Amino acid sequence: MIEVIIGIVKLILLVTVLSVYVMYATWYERKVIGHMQQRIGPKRVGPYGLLQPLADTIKSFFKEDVIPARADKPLFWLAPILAPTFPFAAAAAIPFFPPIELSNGTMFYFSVFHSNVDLLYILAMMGLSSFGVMLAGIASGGNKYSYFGAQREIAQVVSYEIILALALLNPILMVQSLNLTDFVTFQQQHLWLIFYQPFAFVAFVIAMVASASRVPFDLPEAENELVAGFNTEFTGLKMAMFFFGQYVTIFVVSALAAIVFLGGWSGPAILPGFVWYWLKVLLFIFMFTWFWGTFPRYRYDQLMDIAWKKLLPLLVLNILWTGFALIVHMPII
Amino acid sequence: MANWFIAFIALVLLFVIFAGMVIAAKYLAPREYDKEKYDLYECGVPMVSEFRYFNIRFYIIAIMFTLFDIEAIFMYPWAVYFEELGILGVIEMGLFIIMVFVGWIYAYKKGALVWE
Repeated sequence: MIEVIIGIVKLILLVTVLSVYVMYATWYERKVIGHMQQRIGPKRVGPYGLLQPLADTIKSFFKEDVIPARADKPLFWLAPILAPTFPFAAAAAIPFFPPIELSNGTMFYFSVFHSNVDLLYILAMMGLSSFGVMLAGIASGGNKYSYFGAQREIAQVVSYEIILALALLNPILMVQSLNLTDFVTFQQQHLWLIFYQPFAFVAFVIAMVASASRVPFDLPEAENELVAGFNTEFTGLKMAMFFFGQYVTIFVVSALAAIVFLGGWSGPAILPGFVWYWLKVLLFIFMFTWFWGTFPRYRYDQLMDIAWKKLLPLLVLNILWTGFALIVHMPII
Repeated sequence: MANWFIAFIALVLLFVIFAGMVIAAKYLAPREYDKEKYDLYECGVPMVSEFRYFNIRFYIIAIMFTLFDIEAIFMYPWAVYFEELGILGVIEMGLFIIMVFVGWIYAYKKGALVWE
C-alpha cells in the first residue's frame, strides 16, 4: 500500500516536472532555431523571453475551443487526451536520477515505475502513442489533410517501432537484461555500448527521430503539403496537447538513448553521476533541434525505404552476428 | 505485483489529469457560434468533398508490421537467455529469421514496399 502511495506522489511530481520541461523545451527550441537562422527568437515576454512559454500556456487555456459541426464528437475529445497519456506513461519508467541504496538495504528508484522489463514497457507505451494521432485523423470528419497526416503518422511510427525494437536488441544481447539499471552497471564495468554497437546506435538515432516524427522525418505534419497534418482542426489547448505528447516522446527516447548507448550515469569521476546523465539527455534533446535547423524533409517513399529495405535486413544481420560472436567469444567489431 | 498495479494506476491517473485539463479549457474559453467557423477548415478554402478512406498501401504496412513485431517480440526472451542456449540457440534463431524473411522477400517481390 505504501508503495502505491509513493508511486502516486512520484507520478504527480513527474507530471509537474515534465510539464515545466515541455514549456521550456518550446522556448529553448525557438531560441536555438532562431539563432541558427540568424534571428533572435522570443524576447518580448520577460528577460530573454523566459516568460514566453508561460504566456503561451495561459493563452492556450483561454482560446476558443472550436469543434467542427461535422466532427465525430466523442473521438474529437478522446484524441487530445490520449495523445499525451501514453508518452507520459512511457516516461514513468525513465529514471531521473541514479538509484540510491536506503539504510534498510532496499534500492530507491527515481522513476514512478520500476520492473525488470523496463525496455519492453517503454516500447509498448510508445507503440500505443500513435492511437491519439489516429483518432485525431478519424475524428476530424473528413478533412483530407487530417486523414493523410494520420495515415502517414501511423505507418511511420509502426515501421520505426520495429527498427527501435531491433536496434535495442543488440545492446540487450550484450547486457542480457531488460532492466535499465543493469545497462548502466554493465557500462560501468565495460566500455559504453556505443563503442561495441555503433551501427545499432545509428539505427536507433534514425528510428528515434522518426518515431517522434520530427525533422527530417516530420511528414505527418509537413506544412507545405498538408497544412498542419492531423491537428488541422484542433484549436487551443486541444492542439497544445498533441505537442505536449510529442515533446515528452522526445524526452523519453533521448533518455533511453543516453542510458542504453551512452552509459547513463557512468562517466569520469570529475562530475557526479546524475550530472553526466542529464548532460547526455540534454545532448540528445539538442540534437533534435540541431536536426531541425540542418536537414530538409525526406520524401515519403524514401522514409519507408530506409526502414523496410535498408535498416531492417541490416539490423537482423547485426543481431545474428552479435549473438554468434558473443557465443564463440570473438570481438564484435 | 505492486509494480504493475502502480503502472495501471499511473495510466488511469494520467488519463484523468489530461481529461481534466481539456475539460477545464472548455469552461475557461469563450464560445460564440458562427456557421462558417464551425465548418471544416482546410487551409481557408471552402471544402469541396469529404475524404474518409485509408489507402490500401497502409493496410499492407500494418500486416508487415504485425509479422515483424512478433519476430522482434520472439527475439527478446532469446536475447536475455541466449548464453544458456549456446551456439544451438543462435542457429535456431537464424533459421527462424530466415523463415520470417521468406515473407519479407515475397512482399518485396510483390511490390508491397514500392511507393509511387
